[in-house]
Amino acid sequence: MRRLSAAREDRGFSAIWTAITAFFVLGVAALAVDVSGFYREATFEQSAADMTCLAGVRDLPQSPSNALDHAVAIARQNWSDLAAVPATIDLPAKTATLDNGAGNVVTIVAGYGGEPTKMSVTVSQRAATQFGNVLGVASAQITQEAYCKVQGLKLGDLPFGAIPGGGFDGELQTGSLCANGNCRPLELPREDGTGASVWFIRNVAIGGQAQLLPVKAAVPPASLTTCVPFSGPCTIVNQDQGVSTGQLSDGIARGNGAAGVSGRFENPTTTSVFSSLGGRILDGDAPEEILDPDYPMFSGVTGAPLGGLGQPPGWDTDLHGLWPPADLDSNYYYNGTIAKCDSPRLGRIPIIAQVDWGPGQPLNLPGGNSDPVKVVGFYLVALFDPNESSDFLNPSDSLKNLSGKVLWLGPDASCSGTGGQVKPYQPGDVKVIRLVDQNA
Amino acid sequence: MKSEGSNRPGRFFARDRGAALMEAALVMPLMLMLTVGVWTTARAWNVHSTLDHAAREASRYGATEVPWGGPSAAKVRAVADQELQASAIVPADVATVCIAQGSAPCGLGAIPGVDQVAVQLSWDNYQMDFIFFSINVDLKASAVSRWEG
Repeated sequence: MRRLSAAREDRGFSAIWTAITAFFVLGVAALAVDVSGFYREATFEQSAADMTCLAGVRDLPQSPSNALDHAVAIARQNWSDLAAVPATIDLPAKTATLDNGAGNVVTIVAGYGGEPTKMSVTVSQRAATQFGNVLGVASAQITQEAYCKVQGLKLGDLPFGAIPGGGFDGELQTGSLCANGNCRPLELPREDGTGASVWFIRNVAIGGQAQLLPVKAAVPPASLTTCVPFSGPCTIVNQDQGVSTGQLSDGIARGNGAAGVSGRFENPTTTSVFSSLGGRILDGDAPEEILDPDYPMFSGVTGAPLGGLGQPPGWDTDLHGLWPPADLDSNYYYNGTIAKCDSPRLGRIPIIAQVDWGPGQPLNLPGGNSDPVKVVGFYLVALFDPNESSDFLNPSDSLKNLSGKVLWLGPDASCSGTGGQVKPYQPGDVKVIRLVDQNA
Repeated sequence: MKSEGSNRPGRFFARDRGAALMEAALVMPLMLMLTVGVWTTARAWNVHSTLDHAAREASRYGATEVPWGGPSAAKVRAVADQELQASAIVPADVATVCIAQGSAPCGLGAIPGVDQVAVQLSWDNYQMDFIFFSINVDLKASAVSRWEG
């Protein structure tokens, strides 16, 4: 009898036990939903903070005011609850604050940590809980931070105008776009070891500052400041495609693998060569290799390291780093097509800088360079034949007899109208912006 | 009066046999719904988070798309698709609400002196299954970057 009674007493035990455990299971489930919601919120906050930071930092260090204004504007675009919130901007302190009064606050600091080129964005958002109310927790405060930095161009940042592996369909495309006067040019060396590539290397060596020149004639004109537009459609008479990669310390050029040997841009199966001075650039033993009377900016600049070059006038250490720029072991690469047109003309080459931000292209380049890249500006390049302009009309003429000069025009490279002036390079025209760690 | 044999353990369990099963049958659907509900809710958060991330990556890519041309929007979308695929989301499920560049793209307010790149994605009628019923929600993501051209 007692057992039967006990059995009766046991009936419903599973249901009671389930009810008890369900209380905890439900609680854990509710917690999981709320926490996953917090993670989602945190992801969004981080993304928006990153974009806010990157939008503002490019105005540094010249204009903290603009940097704050633009960061605030992009923050408002990304956080709908802050769209109509007035910003509190403290210019002396270089800070801006957006506060909706409901726990959502964005704080932007230009010149974070005393560094004029650095910005921070701190986001503190109140995220409502879905089930936390049961426990009296209606919301949680989520804080995310973004730090970013702007740098000028420095050695290694722009070794080549490069076309990403996925193709760059700007004005460098072949075909109908050539009618615009851009036929994917690239400077090539002269056979005698001089030429535009040497100057190009100098541009690399000094971080991009160079004299400007547009060229249409067979030889560079005396005046290097007049814009000479090229007219008429471009007919491609020859083209070459390939990939090149290496280290600047190699002198950029790799004459089919041997430093110091003149060569040319070859097919993908051959080590490419851009320079005729492989192994000699930047070695500092022959300043005359780098100094050239055609470059007034450099004349009279002697002494100091890095090939005899001193810090050029106007060099902004905040933007460009200390002179000389560091690291000769930076990788360079080129992946694209060179097209030779039937007439000299200008072209824009995208400048690729290595950055930490993806999506990265090109990938899996020879030499193992798989760093993400981005376009940070353009070279404007004029192609010409140093010996005979009519060579342009000769389809069988080797590409290596082509030459050109890199015109540094900054991110808005352009040359419009006969007699117009090309835009001179100004410190800060081209910048590399990137997200960084707090202590970077 | 019960026989002696009725007090044997076998008889006892025979009488209760099926009780636990019945109770489990009552409780299991609830537990199953709960379990699946947690999973489907978490997955919805994950999908929404992925949409945010994809929009952001695409927007940042678009910011460096200089010059902005005819194929640019498609390239930006392709970047978003890569991010979606990385999280096992079929890109075709996610619609492009707007991908544009300009002073006031996608109906956004203009920022003086600044061009913007806006990416807006949406997964309309995303279905959250709870076994016995389902809920359709619209997952939307938007990101705005400063164009660097």
